[in-house]
Amino acid sequence: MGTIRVEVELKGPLARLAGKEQLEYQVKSEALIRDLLGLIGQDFPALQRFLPGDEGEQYGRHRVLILQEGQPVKLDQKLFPGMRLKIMPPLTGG
Amino acid sequence: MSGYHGRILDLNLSSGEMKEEKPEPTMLRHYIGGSGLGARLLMDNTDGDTDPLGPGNILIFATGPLTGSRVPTSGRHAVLGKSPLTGVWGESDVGGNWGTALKKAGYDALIIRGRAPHPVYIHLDEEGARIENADHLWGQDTFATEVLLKQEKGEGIEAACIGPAGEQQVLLASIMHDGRHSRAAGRTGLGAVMGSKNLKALSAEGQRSTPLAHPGELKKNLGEKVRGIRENLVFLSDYGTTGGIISLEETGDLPIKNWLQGKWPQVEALSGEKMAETMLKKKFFCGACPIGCGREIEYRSEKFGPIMGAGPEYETVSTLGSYCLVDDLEAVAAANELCNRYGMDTISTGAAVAFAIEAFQEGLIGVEETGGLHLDWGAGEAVVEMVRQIGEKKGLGALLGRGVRAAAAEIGPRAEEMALHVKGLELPAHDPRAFNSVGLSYATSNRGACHLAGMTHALEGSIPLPQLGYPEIPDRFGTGGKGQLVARMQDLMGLFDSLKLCKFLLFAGIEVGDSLNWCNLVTGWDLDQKEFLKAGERMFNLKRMYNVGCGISRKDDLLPPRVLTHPRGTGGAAHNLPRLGEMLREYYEYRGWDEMGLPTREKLEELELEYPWEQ
Repeated sequence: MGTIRVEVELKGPLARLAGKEQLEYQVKSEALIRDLLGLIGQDFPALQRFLPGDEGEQYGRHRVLILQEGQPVKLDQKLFPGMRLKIMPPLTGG
Repeated sequence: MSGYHGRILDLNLSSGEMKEEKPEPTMLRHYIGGSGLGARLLMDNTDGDTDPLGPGNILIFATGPLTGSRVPTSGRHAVLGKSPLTGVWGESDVGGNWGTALKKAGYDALIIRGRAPHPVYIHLDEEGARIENADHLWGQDTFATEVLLKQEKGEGIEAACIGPAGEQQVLLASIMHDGRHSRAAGRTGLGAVMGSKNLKALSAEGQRSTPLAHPGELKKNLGEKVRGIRENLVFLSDYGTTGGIISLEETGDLPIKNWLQGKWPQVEALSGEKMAETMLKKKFFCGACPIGCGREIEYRSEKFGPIMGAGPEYETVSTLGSYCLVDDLEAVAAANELCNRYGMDTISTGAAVAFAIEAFQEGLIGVEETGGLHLDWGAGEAVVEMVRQIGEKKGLGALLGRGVRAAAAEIGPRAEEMALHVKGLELPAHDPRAFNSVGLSYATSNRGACHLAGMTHALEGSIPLPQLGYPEIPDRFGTGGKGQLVARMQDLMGLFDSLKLCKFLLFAGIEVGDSLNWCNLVTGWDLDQKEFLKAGERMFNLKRMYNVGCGISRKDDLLPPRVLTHPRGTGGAAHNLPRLGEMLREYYEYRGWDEMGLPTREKLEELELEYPWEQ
């Protein structure tokens, strides 16, 4: 099983908490978005409380918004080579 | 009668007469409380001929069965009346602590009719209600009114009041709660109705607990749920409702420059993070809320002096900020404080100012109308001054205070394109071009353009609702299935407004199952999901029938041309336009309405609602 490279852009306070906006990860080719979030949480403990837990959630509810090409992605979606994700504040608002 | 005290107070300010009514159990089961109960009461007491600012209109304050319990976010109430801004159904659902105080005083709901001969306020406690003189309160802003009421009645009271805008019957006036925390029954101009009745305020206090049918089971259920809500809504708690504004801009949901622009990089200047860095004093909570999205701010601005009270919410930083291209958080916060003190809906007020800026820029109005003020895009100080004019009903503000529909009619035909409203209610800060369902929801919401009646941006944006039939997030730019989606969401949100739950619970995965479970555990009923959702459908149809009586039909279920025909051009929803006609057709069909948007006899009979027209 090989590895693939994916890119993550953190936005707003998430970038400030992590201390950087652009992240790159080399992950197993079978890895899921959920696995990637686990790695991010390990590397940036300040983000941990905002990242979706392992509760059978599909999208991460309201902790953060995870977008690929402008659309929300499922946590159990497989990563693919060159995938670019944005992790953003959730869609709050009245 | 678990969940209720079984007491509705009917109070006539013209005569001073008060009587108590005990609601029928069947009516409560059919209409639940809050918004639904209020719908029944408004339908039974007013009609299409009622003058919204006349003594014949009524003002209803209604709690829900969950109000006063420990169910999370249930410290809410609904305010209803015929709207003077729109001329149709008027409703505003509000958090804070006043609803809980009304329930603890021993009342489920309050009906206020007539007009007092001079300014009064109403005090409610466990001994009953009293009408008190309010000459000394008239003219005070909402912050001062609460302080004075507490001096008079004690620190334990909770206050609902109007400010100078409501007193002068500015049609954008709201009813404010909780003093400086400014929880607003903001929309549809019900503050003007209160002003027309010479009713300055209501104070409430008490210790009566809400009777619970299954307290042990409820307690056990809530422990786990509250923990989940806190964990899921940590971002909302940390950064408030403006915390996600950059994401709303990214997805193309944030309206910019009176709905003319697609992207706006300056948006970060208005974010919850920026507010936290510069002016946040502490967060605050509504009754029974474990989230605490409220922001109390304290700041000394060189331009605007001290700024205090509740910080601007998402809708407010949008309407007073991005709608006007103002990226100065101080200006937005100052304008927000003025709205709160005068007692005005920040959505309609900000939308009216953005409309005025565009009209000024296009040469439809000039400095003669603005009193010398240059209404330029991004001019924060001019926005603050225009808000002041609206609150004081002076100059151009007197016209804008009648809403954008009336203002455009006065200024001339070209202005109508700039006036974004549905049924006379200004559009809130979610763009139908970013979420197609939002367009249909605005077009069909009973109070006019309302993002909360359907709350569909949550479902299309990021939150699946499997119990409602949506395990996946629907394609936000798709059209098929949106009629059903919007109708289902409106019915569920009507139930939230009747039980008195905050819609932010959706973001924590609380939807049909939990709300139904809490309803049954508190009331002791045995509603199943079908009967529960049918109650939501019944309420929505009853409100529609009220509007039909006011002349509403398909011709009014529209969107402003700007969001139907003018793409944002750039950003996350650059090219999408909602196909309203197609969605509306499906919506009417799903609702069991005819082609003109009127509920059919069969549908009304199914819902056990009266059919007002014989063939």
